[in-house]
Amino acid sequence: MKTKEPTLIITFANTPDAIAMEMFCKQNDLPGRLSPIPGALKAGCGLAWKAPADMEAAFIEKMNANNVRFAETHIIEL
Amino acid sequence: MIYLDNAATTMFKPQQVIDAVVSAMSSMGNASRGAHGSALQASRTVYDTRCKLAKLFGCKSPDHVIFTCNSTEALNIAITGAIPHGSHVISTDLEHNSVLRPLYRLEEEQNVKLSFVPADQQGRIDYDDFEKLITPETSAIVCTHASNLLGTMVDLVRVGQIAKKHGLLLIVDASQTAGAAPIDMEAMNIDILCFTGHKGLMGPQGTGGLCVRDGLTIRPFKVGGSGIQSYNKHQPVEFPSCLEAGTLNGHGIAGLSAALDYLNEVTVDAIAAKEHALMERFYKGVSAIEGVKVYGDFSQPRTAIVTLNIRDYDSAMVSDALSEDYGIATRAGAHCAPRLHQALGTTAQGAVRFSISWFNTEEEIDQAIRAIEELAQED
Ligand SMILES: Cc1ncc(COP(=O)(O)O)c(C=O)c1O
Repeated sequence: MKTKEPTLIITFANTPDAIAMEMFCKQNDLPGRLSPIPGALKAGCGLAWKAPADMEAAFIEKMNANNVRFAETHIIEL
Repeated sequence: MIYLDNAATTMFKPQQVIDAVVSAMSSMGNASRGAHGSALQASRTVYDTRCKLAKLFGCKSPDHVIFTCNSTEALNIAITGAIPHGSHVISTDLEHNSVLRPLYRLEEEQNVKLSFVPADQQGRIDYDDFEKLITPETSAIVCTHASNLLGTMVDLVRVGQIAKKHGLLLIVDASQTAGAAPIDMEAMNIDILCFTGHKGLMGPQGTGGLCVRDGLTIRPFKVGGSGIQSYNKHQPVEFPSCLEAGTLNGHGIAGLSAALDYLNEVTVDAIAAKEHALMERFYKGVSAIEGVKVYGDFSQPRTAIVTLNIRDYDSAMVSDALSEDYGIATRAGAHCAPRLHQALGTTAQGAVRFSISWFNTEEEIDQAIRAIEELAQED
């Protein structure tokens, strides 16, 4: 597998929240993509949003400002 | 894209299935509701599909083929409607949550006692355990025909003999085998067979059902419009109306009907043989790669599934790399099969499942082997 690098992972309680996040990011030109949730993390939904690690604060601010539901944010080596 | 997630759903359907759905969407009335041409045509299509399914599964009466939207709904109808309150039920560690959760609910709400035939670290069960677990209160065995995680098949002839000998109801989850392996309710002594239309049968999502042995009564899970006996305050007791409240997925059933024609043309045996050959090819290829651990016993009867891990790599990340870097669709994680992951010791790592269909090719299998080789090499 490829060399690891710090990555932002945003988790969700369920699939509709994850899909809503994808729509939100697309509409707002936010980077990232849906990916399976890494095994080290736990959440209701098996999908997570994977994005650049340096954007954690920006994501949290935008998601909160727009009532985008998410469970947690993590920076992990992927 | 190389689609190797057929245990979740067969994504590629025969063209005639697609054509049948499209055609039904501009011509089909509501089955069993009305006597005009398009309503009658819908009733004919639905009945014809019941006949085809009855023949495929060895169900004596086509009117005992009940349509649902998937096997989960069928299993809920069977498990909650046929198992007596306060009785004891035997199931296995191989089960999907669509069997486990309805059983756990009966345990919590209706004082039903549960026992599970354990799976070993290779996902095998010991058939003697069924008899060992029987108590005077045992009313039913609920078991899968094949594990959706490993592909391990259960010998239903053997389980059926045990059920018959002890007068137990046998409810079978055929989600992974319908269309992919022969099933005969008579020879296997199956009382209720639950199937889904969108996997091995290659029909549309939103189709499935249960086949019920003559003489069995099942308390309806839902009641409502049946198109018959409208002044009766209760759900009609006749099959299939007793278990089919509400408009059926006629468009989907038209597609399922075409899928059954396709299956009859190519035959389930030919499908099983081809899928098996591809599975063997993949198994041989990946089990030779250093760092790859394949789960399950390949000397036993099985469906076309190969489940593996690479070293201690997170299965979700391997599946993601296969999808992103190689265009190969697989499924990682827990696969709704918690008890079997516990038996395998893979609850933390999960596992990557490759599930093969009739439409896969040797070239696709070889590409998937090469992808695993590369992923196992990278560090
Ligand atoms: C063994 C098994 N049982 C039940 C199900 C549930 O099937 P459906 O989602 O079509 O109801 C599945 C599908 O994932 C399965 O593999």
